[in-house]
Amino acid sequence: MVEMETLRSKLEQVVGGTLHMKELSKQQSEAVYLPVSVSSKASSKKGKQTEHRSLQDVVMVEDKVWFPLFIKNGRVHVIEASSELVNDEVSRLIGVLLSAVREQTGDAVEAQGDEERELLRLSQWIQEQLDLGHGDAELPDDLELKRLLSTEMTPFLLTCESIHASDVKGSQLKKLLRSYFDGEVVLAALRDNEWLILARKELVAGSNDEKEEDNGESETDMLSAFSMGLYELIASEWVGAFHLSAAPSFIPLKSLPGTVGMLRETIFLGRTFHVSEHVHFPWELLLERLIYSIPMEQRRRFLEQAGDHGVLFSDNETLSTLETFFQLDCNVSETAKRLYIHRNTLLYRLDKIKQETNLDVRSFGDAVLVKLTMLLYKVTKRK
Amino acid sequence: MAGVRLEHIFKKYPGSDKATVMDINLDIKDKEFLVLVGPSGCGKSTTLRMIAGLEEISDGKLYIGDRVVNDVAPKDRDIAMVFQSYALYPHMNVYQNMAFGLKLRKVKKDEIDKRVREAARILDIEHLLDRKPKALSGGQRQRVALGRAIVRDPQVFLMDEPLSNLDAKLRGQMRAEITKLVKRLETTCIYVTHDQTEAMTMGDRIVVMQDGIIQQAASPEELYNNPNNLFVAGFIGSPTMNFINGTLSESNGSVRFKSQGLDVEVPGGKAQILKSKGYIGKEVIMGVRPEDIHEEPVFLEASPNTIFTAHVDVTENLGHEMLLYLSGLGNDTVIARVDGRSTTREGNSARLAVDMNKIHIFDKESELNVLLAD
Repeated sequence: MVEMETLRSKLEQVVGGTLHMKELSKQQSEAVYLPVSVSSKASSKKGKQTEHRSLQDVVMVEDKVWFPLFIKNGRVHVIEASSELVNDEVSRLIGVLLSAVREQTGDAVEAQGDEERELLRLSQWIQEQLDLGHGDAELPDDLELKRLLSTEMTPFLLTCESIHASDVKGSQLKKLLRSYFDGEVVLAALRDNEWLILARKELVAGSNDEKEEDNGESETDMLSAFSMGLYELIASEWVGAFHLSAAPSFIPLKSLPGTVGMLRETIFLGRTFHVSEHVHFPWELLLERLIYSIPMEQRRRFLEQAGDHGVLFSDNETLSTLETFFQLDCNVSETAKRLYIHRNTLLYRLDKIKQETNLDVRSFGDAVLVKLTMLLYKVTKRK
Repeated sequence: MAGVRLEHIFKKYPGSDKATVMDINLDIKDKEFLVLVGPSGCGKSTTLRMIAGLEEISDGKLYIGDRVVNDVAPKDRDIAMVFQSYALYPHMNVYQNMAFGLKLRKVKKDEIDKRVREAARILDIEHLLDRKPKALSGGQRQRVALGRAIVRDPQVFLMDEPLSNLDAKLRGQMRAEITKLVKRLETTCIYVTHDQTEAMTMGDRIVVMQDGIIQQAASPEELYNNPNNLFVAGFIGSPTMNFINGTLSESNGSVRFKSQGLDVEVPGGKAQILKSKGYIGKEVIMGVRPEDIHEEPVFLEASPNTIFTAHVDVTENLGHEMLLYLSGLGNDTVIARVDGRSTTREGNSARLAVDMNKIHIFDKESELNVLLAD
């Protein structure tokens, strides 16, 4: 199949300007391209002719020219050019070229449509099960993907919040993932700008031979490194700002909705408690999950009893000092190093915290209390 | 290659009542090595991430070359990034890590091979091409991350604290190597660091940031010698500049700076500026760098109006120089950097003099350097 993205970039070189791939809205698609079966009777009576366009048309819309590529899920995908960039002759030539390409790729597009329909069914089924609270529901028998999802797979969930999100294409992501994982993965669009990725376990963990070389590296360590690499790749090669969560491998056949729910919760908790992080893992957010499950009234009551140190936590410097200190197992030297401050400066800051709260975070009991109140502060007070 | 221009760039996160980055205006020239420096939370990484397309720009325009790129996806900005975490692809070897971005861009195989081997040669990692990341040291991983950026041959390099995960010795080595590399590749580079030594040694120009605002953008020499304000003066230089609270007064035609334990004459040119700006009789902050406090007899003889005596609390002999920690001047400890052969010892009094031609006077309210032209 001729790759439309490659075609677009080659056409860009020919016309010497920028061309965009664009998915028209359903309204635009219906109004401009899709055959209208019955024209409005009212307009016919008035003698107006409804324009029936076919997919081969090159269409001028205000100062843009649209070159149709294919229809998917009732939406037309076009290459869009500025009308200043392409004159009539060039427009016609591109139109003829794309028409020929469409004839060649018609079957492939149809085949891809089947796969996408299956994935769409899978997404809808997951959502339905989540709505019903059936986290451990088994995949329905009539889902053709069922056989594929009966083996051990590693799940990733990706949510995109970039302004470029509306421009991003699942097909581009799939290609990127295929290259990164060096094999086929299941990519299902769950909601707007949310994708579930399922990769066979061996694509992430490596073959048995490779595993032997790993010198006892745990699955979570390996998954962390793999996810960080994946994050960096997608950030720079695809879309920019997004969040990623991953969980240890499982067999999707039986508990896929529950796993999706857990990955969604992981991203939510990660974004709530660790605002600067973009990759989140469930095993790193256990305490956060516990804190979040406490009802609001009880959280408030606890803060009242344990001491509300909101003023302290609202100071970014104090907050980052405490977060780093806890992250590094209350190790003063390592924390000072990580924060690029002198050890004495750190000790001064910790003493200041002690003065204001009567809690010395160098002692285990007080450290636990400060950590809990800090997490509670993040879900109750932080703007 | 291309320059980068930031016009009135703002970043405000949803739900936050204060902007993280405020009204950033910068014109970064083609092939310039620009360093963004400041304490953590000052907005330098956010600014870099906006340039990279990893954060949305709340307001303002960003240009790479002549193109506004606010709405351009990161992959289409023709930039290459190197992060502090340098997350390599763990299941690929070094060669594959470096080649991967080019493969995605459908660059021909022989061209990929040529570029990867050339970058590996430049970075001295040719012998590591078959290894997986977990078999590399921190320094080697960082080189691979750099190599991954180099092979892209981008218009702009963006580096966010790329050396902070390395130990001090390696950091020093890599600092020089990156500078050399960027000059050799003749590519525009924007480099973020918290470390003023890195900033001073690497940048053609340094932008000092605090609380999301540019405090000063200038060459390393200009920043060091003519800081705009108290923050820049204190941030650049190690040990930091000494700040002494005091009052300016005029007697017998000369202007004097008086503080606890210090009564020194301000030289004519500076005195004139202070008089014309109405600072006589006012409380100000005097800034003096440690190396501008002298103990050599020749200097003391030549500067009788700037001599003072202080108690030496601590001495630190670094071999080529000695740091004297002095008390008795204002409220804080004052540090003097003297010759390593100094015979001054802690617990004693020392007779020293300030090089008043090098001092800075800061307004106590605005914290601006009042000796600089308006």
